[in-house]
Amino acid sequence: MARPELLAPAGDLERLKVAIRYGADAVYLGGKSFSLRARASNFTLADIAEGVRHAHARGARVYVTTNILPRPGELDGFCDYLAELERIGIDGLICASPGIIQLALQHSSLPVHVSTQQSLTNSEAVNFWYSRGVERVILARELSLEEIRTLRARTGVELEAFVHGGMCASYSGKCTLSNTLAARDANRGGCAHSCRWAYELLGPRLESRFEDAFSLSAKDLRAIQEVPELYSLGIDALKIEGRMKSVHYVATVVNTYRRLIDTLHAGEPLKLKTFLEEIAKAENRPTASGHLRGTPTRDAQLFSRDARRPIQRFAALVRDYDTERGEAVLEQRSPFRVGDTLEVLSPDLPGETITISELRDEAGIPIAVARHPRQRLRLRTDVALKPYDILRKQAPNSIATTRKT
Amino acid sequence: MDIIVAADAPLVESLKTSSADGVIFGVAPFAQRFRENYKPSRLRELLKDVSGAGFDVWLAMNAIIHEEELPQVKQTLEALRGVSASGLLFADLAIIRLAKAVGLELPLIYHPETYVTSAADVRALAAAGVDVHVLARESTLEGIERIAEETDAKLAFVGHGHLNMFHSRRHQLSLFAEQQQQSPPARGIVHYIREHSREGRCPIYEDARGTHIFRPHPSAAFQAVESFKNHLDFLIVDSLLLEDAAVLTAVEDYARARSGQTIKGDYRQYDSGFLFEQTGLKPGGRS
Repeated sequence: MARPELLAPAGDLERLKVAIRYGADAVYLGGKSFSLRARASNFTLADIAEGVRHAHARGARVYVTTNILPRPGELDGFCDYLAELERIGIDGLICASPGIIQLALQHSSLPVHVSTQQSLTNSEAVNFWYSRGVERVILARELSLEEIRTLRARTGVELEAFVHGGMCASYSGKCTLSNTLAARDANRGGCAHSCRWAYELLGPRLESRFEDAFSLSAKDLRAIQEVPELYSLGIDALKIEGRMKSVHYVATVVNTYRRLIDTLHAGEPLKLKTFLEEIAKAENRPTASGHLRGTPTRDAQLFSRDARRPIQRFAALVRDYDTERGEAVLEQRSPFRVGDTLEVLSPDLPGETITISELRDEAGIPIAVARHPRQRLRLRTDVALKPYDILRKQAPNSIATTRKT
Repeated sequence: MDIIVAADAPLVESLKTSSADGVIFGVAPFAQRFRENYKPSRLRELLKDVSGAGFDVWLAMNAIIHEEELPQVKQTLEALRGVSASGLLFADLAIIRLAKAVGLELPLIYHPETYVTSAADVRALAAAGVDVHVLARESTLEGIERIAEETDAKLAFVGHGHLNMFHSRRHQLSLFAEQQQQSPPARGIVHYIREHSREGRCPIYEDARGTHIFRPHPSAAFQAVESFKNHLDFLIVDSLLLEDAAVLTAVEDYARARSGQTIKGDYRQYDSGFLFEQTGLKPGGRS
């Protein structure tokens, strides 16, 4: 069984590097043009080139999203953009618009992946694009494992499935709720997430008021328990959603799915509970298995009573580590203090923790509490940290080893 | 520019003496957001019944098709072979392949709601065998004109009716009812949702294919007819959630507008969809 590609979001160069550091086989990112998620800090061509150099040097791939549904005039310059991306050496394009797919197939040799925005739900539709030359289809998020199984058997194209992150409540690429209610174009990068608003429901049978609001919103997808089956089905790529998400989210989620896939591939016994505990540390919304187990029940909906946020645990990002001095340079992300025990999130240091006995600011002055966002801090520790390792508040029952600094 | 009306059997009786140039019938069980859908055997009767009216008749199979439905889709297409319709309206690209596989020779009318937004889309789908392209519902008039000027393909646009803006596979009303420990509403029963800071209530209902939500007001395109005459081949009037009388009045008014006459209906409760609306990437429709 081939090991599926783990594909992670890269909202900017830092998150690209974090995703690869934590084990992504590939990242996807948006350029300044032709891409959804307009509010993500999308990449310039120079950024894309740097991202590709960084990824390729580490054996990872970079896919660029050109997944808007363009209005007339908005494709001006698209073929020049394609030529630039080809020159830079990206590994594929993710497209939703039939016109963009066709232009990419005709005017470049870049592999074309059909976006989930096309909402492809059956093998005939998938094979329509396969027969026209696309390399991969990213399946609609409305499919069950059973549907994916049948579809897998009926097509030769590479298949990619989402395993984690936000879900559109509507079939993707077919929604204009945001256009109508917020004058923001859902399919050109301006989605206002109107499906997550609270609504009053008025009707002959059901009613709600704002204090007990009706919601269209789905819980985020979490397919930890479904990955073993997706793996056995021979899905080619497993995708994490979230170009708008934080460094901590990307690191935690990528690290968890990396270890899960590697455990499966090695044929080692799976302890799903461990992976579920780990993924819960990401600052995501409540999660469910989406459509993968069949028709979603009310437990997969995000009603107001469920709209709680998990506890923030991201204490600091490691920027540097001096092995001779045994000193780390940290960037604060949430308050912590001397005496706290912080958990290390690192691909190289599973289960490691550090108890803070001394903390200094950038000038070397001792401080008791790290309370300023993004403050640079110095921490003496013999734990050999690396850039982009993360320190977070210790989760209960997760201590493997504890060292004093 | 022909006027094509999405209809059911009772409405068609009235349309026979109207200015409509064609009608669309939903094909059961693969049409969605139609007043009623008909099995192929019943469609043959309806086609026979309207044959004297000189209508174009389009058959609609515009559902999003899931894997387990493919054999039945194929059977349905086989059953439509030989019908005297003038087009097959569809949303799922599977239909292109399956129609070809069963030898169905009806012209193909692609209506995916949102995906035909540029001339590049029209050219891509024309190359794949599509004969008529229904432009995206969020198209502006300026955009429609530009697409028409950049292609020779036949173009259609849904200019009148309650425009759908959301389709979920989830049964959102039933899930909410379950959450509230109430019994779910019957399929097709229209409710409304309203966001507290916004005007208007959006119709919402469930059917076998999930949940559908529509714009707060029906849309009309009389202001654009003069341009449509030069740029569109077909103007579609959607009758869903409208009274027969309102549809018939609108059809006559589009015919009047097409020939430069004054319209007679009262459309104060209608908006103009996205034809003249500024939408963008930021609040307030800014880009």
